[in-house]
Amino acid sequence: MTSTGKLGDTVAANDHGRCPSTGPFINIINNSEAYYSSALIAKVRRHVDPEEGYFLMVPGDFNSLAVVNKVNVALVRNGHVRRVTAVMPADEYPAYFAANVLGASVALTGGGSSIPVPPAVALHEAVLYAPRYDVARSVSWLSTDMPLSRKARLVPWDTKGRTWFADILGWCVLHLPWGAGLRRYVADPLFYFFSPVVRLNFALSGGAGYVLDLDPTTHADYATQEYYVPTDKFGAFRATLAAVIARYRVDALNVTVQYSPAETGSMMPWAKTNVFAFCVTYRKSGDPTTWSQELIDDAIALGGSFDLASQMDIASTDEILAAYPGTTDFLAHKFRYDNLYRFHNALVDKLCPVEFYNAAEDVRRGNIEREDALFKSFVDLKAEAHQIDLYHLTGVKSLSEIPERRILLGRISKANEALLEAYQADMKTELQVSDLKARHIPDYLVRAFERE
Amino acid sequence: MAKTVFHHSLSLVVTLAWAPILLTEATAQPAQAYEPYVETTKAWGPDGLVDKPIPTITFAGPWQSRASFFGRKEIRVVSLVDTADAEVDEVNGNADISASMPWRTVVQLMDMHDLSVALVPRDLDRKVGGHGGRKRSR
Repeated sequence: MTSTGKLGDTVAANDHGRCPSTGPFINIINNSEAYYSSALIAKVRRHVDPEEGYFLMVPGDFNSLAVVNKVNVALVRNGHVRRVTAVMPADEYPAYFAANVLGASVALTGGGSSIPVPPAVALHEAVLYAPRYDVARSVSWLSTDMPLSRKARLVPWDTKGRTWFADILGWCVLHLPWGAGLRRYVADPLFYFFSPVVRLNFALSGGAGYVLDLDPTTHADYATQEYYVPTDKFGAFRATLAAVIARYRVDALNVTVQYSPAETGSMMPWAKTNVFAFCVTYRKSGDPTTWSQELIDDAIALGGSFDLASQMDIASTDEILAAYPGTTDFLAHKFRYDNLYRFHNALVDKLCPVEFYNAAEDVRRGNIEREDALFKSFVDLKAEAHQIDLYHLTGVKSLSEIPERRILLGRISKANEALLEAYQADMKTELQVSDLKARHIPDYLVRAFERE
Repeated sequence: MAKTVFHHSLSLVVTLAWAPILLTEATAQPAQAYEPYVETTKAWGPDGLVDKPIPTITFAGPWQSRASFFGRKEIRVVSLVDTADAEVDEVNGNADISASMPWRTVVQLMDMHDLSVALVPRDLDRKVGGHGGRKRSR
């Protein structure tokens, strides 16, 4: 069994969870520490300077601008939560959500602690049932003062509370011809029949959800894609999603819907307004590009976006620019804070084509050659001065009285200055806009470069 | 045809067989709440910090960061910090947490203080990443 989800991954992707009131992870970060490429040159010197906007660049940058080291996050009390579910036609879900989740309130005592209690609806998501995705099951964990029905503090890590017959159940739901119907009419009603009261951490550690946890051995065969659409466009996107999944016979195992309020602060916000996130989990078979791009285009047309982390390879550059208008700013900051292009990744590689790196590399190589030549002349001058010193060492009282030696020292000084300038030029990587245009670099990249 | 008939027959049998089992499952209590976390070699467990070295920042997903140190040689960023650690401020309700700490450990550590992080990913084990079916090369 592997478990590789790390806090840094969540920060880098600015991921979200099931808490409807917090939204993207950036919303709960108080401050952060990150290493920038310049710090790496300076033998890992930390930059922590919110005044200059460093902090805001890190969440959601996919480790392109800086590598996050430590984050300070907000905490809530590990209060009691009670699970409540409801089944409804999918088109009625937004109204249900507005009334019962956004409009929910709870009066809990603070117990004298300054740490806040969990929100009224601590966790919430909805499952859309295959094959038509026109029925939704809302699953909410509500804050409560009721006594616990389960005393355990956390779900066991290894089994996630499953037993052997749950594995059989999972196999049936996932592999049998009418597993979807089985889940909707038999398994889920039984599974959600009770309303347990547990601690918040117990609910949080419960895993990926009912169906996916049932078959963990084949997790590697699954992938997820996520689409974010404004809350008032829920119905339109749901219809498109159902049609695309049916048309392309996508082996979708699970479609869940979560809510996120708009975020502020990150350079590449995926929740520009209040959005519903449609998370599609599917079995990997064939190339998902065609159907994914159709959904991406639809989400963009509705004023939404898509998950860069999972669709970085699939989305075209135009789609990324349309869904993330901050891309140009992001690249401008990339050029400013990582001007030697030390941090590479799939996103940067996609947005900055090979020609751009080649241009930077050419300049860098030219700088290195210039540095090498200057260093050689500098060493030669020093050797020459040393020879003069040796020659006159016994015959002259003071070496400073030798005219050619004075001239030589002046040349050494100038060579030293030139060498330092060359080093600095290497640091700056003096790319020119004209160079980029001559190499047919895309306009958005040139604009970002000029803005830097 | 025979395969379809076999599948449908098997589905029917399993459906009829599992209903009482499901009821048992829905009311089952986990046998043990805590399992020491041992994926990395240094982490928080129910008895405190397990003293072993830990691999440091590693990046899952398609953007695995690489860095070319000193402008010459490109290597992966894997050793920026030495330990995964966390410092919890129980008075003001916040915590400094190393980015290299797995989410499972974060939840377990917060639970020891009877606190929760205000936002936790839906799947603690999730590798944030893409389809993974295509390789890019530069």
